[in-house]
Amino acid sequence: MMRMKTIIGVVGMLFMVGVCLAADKEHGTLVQESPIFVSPDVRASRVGTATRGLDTFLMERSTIEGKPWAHVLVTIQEGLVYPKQVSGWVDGRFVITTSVPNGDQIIFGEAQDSERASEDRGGRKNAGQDAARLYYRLYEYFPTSPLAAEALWHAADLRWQLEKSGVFARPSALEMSPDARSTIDDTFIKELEKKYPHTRWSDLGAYDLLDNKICGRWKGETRCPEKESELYEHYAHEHPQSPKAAEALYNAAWRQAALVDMYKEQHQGDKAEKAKRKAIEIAQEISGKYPDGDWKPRAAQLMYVLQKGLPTYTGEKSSR
Amino acid sequence: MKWSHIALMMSLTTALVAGASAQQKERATLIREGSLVSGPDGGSTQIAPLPRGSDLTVTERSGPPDSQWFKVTVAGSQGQPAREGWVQSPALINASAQNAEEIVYGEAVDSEHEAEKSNGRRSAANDAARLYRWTAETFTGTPLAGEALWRTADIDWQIARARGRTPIDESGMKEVIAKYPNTKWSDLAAYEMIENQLCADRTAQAACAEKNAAIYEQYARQHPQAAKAPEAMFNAAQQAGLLADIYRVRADKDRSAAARKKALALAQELADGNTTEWKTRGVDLQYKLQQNIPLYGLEQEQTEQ
Repeated sequence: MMRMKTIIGVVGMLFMVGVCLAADKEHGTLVQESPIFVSPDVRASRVGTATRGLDTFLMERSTIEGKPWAHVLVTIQEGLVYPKQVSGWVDGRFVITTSVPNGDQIIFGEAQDSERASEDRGGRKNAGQDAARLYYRLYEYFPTSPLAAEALWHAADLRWQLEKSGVFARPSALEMSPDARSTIDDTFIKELEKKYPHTRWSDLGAYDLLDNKICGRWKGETRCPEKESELYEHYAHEHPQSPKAAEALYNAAWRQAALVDMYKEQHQGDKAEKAKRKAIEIAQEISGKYPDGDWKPRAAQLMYVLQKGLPTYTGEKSSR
Repeated sequence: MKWSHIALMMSLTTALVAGASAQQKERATLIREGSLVSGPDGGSTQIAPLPRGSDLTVTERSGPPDSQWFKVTVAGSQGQPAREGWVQSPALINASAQNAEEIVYGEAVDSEHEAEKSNGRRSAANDAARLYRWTAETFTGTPLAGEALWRTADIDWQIARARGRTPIDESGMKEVIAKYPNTKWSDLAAYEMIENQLCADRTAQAACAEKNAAIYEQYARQHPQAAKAPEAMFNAAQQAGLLADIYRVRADKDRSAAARKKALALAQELADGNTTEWKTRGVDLQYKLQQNIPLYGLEQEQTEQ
């Protein structure tokens, strides 16, 4: 009897594990915004709106009068209300789970669409946030997809840029020290670096992280361009294959060129000469290592300006 | 003296004279703002300010190399006559200077970046356009010159669009196509010019969606190697999808089905491609078409239901 109970128990446990595994496979997201109805009927009461990219748990699908429906459990946040879990019925065509063929490509395509919409002047409101969520869902639920790493990068970068625009718009961003302003949350970038180290995507993520280290305003202080030049040069040497390596070197050279003007103003000829040599050295490195694209001509222009003694720094640094 | 020696001496003399003349008359520009003044000294009257990228011809030089004055002719723009005067500036760069092409192009890129900043220099976009044009006209035929001519035309196009000028003047784009046919720049110029042909109301008119789809598809077929070809193909597919929706709303089932079939075929071509963005957007569009998810008026439809 005891043995029988054990067998039933084990079978029961296996069944539960099976259910859980099946359930895990039905996680996904929506690729279109949809009202959530209490029952699979468009005349039924609505309990909320499911936006693109929401974390969605699909419980069942059914077709009623030719219309596909999906019974879902979603976590939504409206306004200042704490996130809440809502279950209800949405248009079944909008729910993309791991079992939908090419689901990863559909979500990525919709995310790209949303990202483009966010860049259009008349584009959909919150399209940028939709894009970030869609990218993250792809990474989360399709971890073996060849698009997963790129999707996590886009998700992390969109979040970063969104927060950055807020942080740098505040008065604290006018202060010299980066510690004077809020730090941009680096959770997703760190996740990217951990999951996909030494890739093009982690290189791009590492470049974003520099935003938290650069000065707000220089206020004529040489220590800011000195420190920033070092940061950019270090990045370029640590990530030579990065698509941002040439830009980082140019930023380093430009800051040395700005130092030339600042030291000259302070009548520190030796330091000005040293900064000039350093700027030219970095500019030459750009010409040698990155001959394609705009960075080589920009380096040539910077070298010419330095050799002719033309000013590059006109009082305040240009933002990155 | 042999005739051959006389001929050799004559040709050498001609070459020297030509060389001297070329040295005297040389194309130049400025990579910083400057001033055109009446004489080669600090107390001269200013004739006109000279912006970055001014098209100058140096006709005479005066003074030591480190503080040299240049007598220049400034090419007149938009029907204005050329002006003559003197310039003294280390920012003046001659066409024969080492790396002149890269330096001026680099300054143009710099100005273009400046123009994109919210607090950037006011004249930066026009500076960039002038500097690119100077590069393109001075170093005709080089890879940088082709890119520079395209960028000049593109900046002019963006400025005209921002000013609400319709149709946008196509002369710059046509120049790119004429001077650099069958290149990436002529492909880009042809894509930009599509804007003048599109229907203004792209949302509700079947004729518009049909025309726009045809224009985009024609571009994609005629420029298969263009960087913009997948985007054009996507736009064609999307417009065909919109057309299917418009006919569906009008209960014109046959035309709706035909448009949908066309949209699906175009989306399939994209899905078979290898550009990540356009391949996945093609797959996404294909899914929406297969599932009969409306592309046009979706939000309204949801609310009405």
